[in-house]
Amino acid sequence: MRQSPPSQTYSQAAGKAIKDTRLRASLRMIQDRIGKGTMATWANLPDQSLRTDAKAARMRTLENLDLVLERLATTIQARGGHIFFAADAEEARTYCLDVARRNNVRSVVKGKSMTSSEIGVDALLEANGIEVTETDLGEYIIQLAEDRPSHIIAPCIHMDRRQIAELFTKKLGIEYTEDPPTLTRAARKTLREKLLNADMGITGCNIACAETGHISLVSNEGNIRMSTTMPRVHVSLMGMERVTATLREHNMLLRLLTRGAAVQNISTYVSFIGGPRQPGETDGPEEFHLVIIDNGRSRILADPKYREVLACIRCGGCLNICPVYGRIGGHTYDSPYPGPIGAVVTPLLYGINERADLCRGETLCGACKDICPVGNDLPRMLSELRHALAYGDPDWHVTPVSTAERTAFRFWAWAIQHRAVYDMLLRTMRVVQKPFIKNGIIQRFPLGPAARWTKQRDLVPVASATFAERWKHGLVAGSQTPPASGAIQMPRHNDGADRIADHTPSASAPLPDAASDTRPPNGITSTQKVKE
Amino acid sequence: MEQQTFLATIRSALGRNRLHTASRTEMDVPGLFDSRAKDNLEEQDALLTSSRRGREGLCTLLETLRTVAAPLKLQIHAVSNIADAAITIATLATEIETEWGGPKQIAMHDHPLLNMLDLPALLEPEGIGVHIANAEDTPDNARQAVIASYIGITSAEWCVADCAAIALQTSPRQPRATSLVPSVHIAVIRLNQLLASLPELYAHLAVEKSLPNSFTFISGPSKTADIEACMVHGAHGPRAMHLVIVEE
Repeated sequence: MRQSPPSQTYSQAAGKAIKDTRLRASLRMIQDRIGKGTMATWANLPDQSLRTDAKAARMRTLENLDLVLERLATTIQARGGHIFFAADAEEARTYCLDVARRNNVRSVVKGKSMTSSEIGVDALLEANGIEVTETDLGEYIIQLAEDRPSHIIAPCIHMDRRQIAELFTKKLGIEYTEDPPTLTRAARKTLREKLLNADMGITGCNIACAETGHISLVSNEGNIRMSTTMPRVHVSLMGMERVTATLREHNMLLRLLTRGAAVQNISTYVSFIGGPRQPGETDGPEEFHLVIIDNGRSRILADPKYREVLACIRCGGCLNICPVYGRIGGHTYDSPYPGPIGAVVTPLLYGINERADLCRGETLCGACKDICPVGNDLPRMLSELRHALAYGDPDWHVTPVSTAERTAFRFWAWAIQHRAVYDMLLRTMRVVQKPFIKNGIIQRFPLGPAARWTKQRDLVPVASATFAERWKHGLVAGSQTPPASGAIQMPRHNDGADRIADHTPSASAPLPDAASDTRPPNGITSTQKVKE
Repeated sequence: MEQQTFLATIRSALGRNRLHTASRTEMDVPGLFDSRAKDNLEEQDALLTSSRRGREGLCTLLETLRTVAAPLKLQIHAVSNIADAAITIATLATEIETEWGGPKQIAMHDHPLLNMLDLPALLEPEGIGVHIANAEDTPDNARQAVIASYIGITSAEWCVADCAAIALQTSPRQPRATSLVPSVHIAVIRLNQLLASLPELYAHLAVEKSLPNSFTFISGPSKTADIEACMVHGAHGPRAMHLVIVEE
């Protein structure tokens, strides 16, 4: 569910984020620290088969999800917990409201949960006069600022300490300070009152374990333990796939989750909860409810193309490495699930046509697959989504996005298979492009798809001679300018190359010079010599 | 939605037709929930390794624990006997200041190892009261006591060296809030409760006759890095944690 109608398009939001230098710096910091740390952790895992074993166990559990959920439900019910199966968001949030009403709940404390924002429970509770307080520090800051989270585990990464200081001065009435420990202490004091006095706690569920009948929650702040210990009622919201069959699988996933999320061997707290307070116990909730939510997940389960995305354990690792997320930030995704995982899951949950920009915005570079603790092939699924958008997919009610694009590509496929047509196209292009080439690059092209392309990017002009033509005329050796002898190096010829490099200050190495088609690198020269 | 309808949706998503599913039970998928089985080699191996670990092995684990605990700000106090453990805790109790004001009061689990410390007698002259969890407490009493406490003292079932986490099971004598609501958490264990790794801990959990409704792994004081990724200890749980390890 979108929390509010989008006020801007994906490209507008992305464009704004890219210009936000402070945001870019924050994202770069988190990617440098956590993303690189996680990759190093995977490389140094003593048990190198852990990730593939975990994935195999995960897929096996998904293939038996009916039995696994049945076992989870039965075991928790036997301990006095309540289970509710919710087909969609509406059923889930209505159930939460019913539980709150039955228990005369006036205030709710929340542990960070993406599922809660997926089902939109806060707005419903608040509309019914119930105070809802986020207790994760980052989420609390977001709530005070009436903003949206932008990262799965660092919700307010887009805000700096100055903004938070101003917010706390205004909303909590504390003296202005930019000192994170002092700001944290102020939130600790305020939230302690809320946590100790709330009637109901709402949390998500990181990984449930069917074999023993527990949900488990990880946290570093202790707010989740507070929310599940001090209030009279605890409601846990669980996406139906967030369950393991066995303790052993749970063990594997827990080790992967905390490493993928924050390069931690384990989080400060891991709580296992399998029901309410037992006879003789003096604390813990009197009622425990587990809401198991489908809301579109069974449709994903049914499609072998996308099933593996349900193996995701929501560590957020892919956000910490994705070059696209690292530049456009979380808000651009306009979903509870940002980043590469969001680019796959969001369209599947909310409509592939409706959220078509997400899969097209990613680069398919494969970094998200490399960092994924369970090796989910997100790039493959992004391609599947693009395929569905190009050709339509009745199973997902997808209509082709652009018939013009499809026609163009069909024509292109035909043209490159017919030499004469292809050569004629090239000859035409060489003439047409001539007035627009500056410094070996087309910066602005007035017509057709090329005009849209050059709005944000440069276009490499068609080469004056194709490789085949140069080969035929013995020009491949670079007869115009004999290459310098010595080590093989990428050529840097014209101003165009420098200009491209200027546009991407973050790239440490200059881009391969695509415009320098006429002068091949030395490598080719030597090949030619061998041939001679 | 009815459980059966919900599960039927999943079955059909998995491509199982009605004939197929009518009689489908856990028995049709052997080993689906098998990690607690007696003949499970991986878990049995882990149990055997941990039960055969001698003093030398435990001391190696203690060193690992020290290394891992340091960056987590989990403070390790290895002491040779119970009397020293009691003195260590009494010293901490005198030095630590209350965070929220009021008189110094400690909340403690009712646990054989903790009871041997004789803390109430030791701390009475210092004017520090000790509230020991008991089943006769009303929930309200217990709640007031733990909220008024600046230190919570617990034992633990196990402690995992390679991630510096203690595992704590909830019971009437071991309420949840003792390790959570007071400003400082002190845990006391014996050296032979050390385990090497999480898989060893899970192997022990797997052979427990029945796991309680609530159990928790704790590795150090609560913390947050939500403001500009700057690490601050003392978020919503304890702001400091001490682990006292009795070597005898």
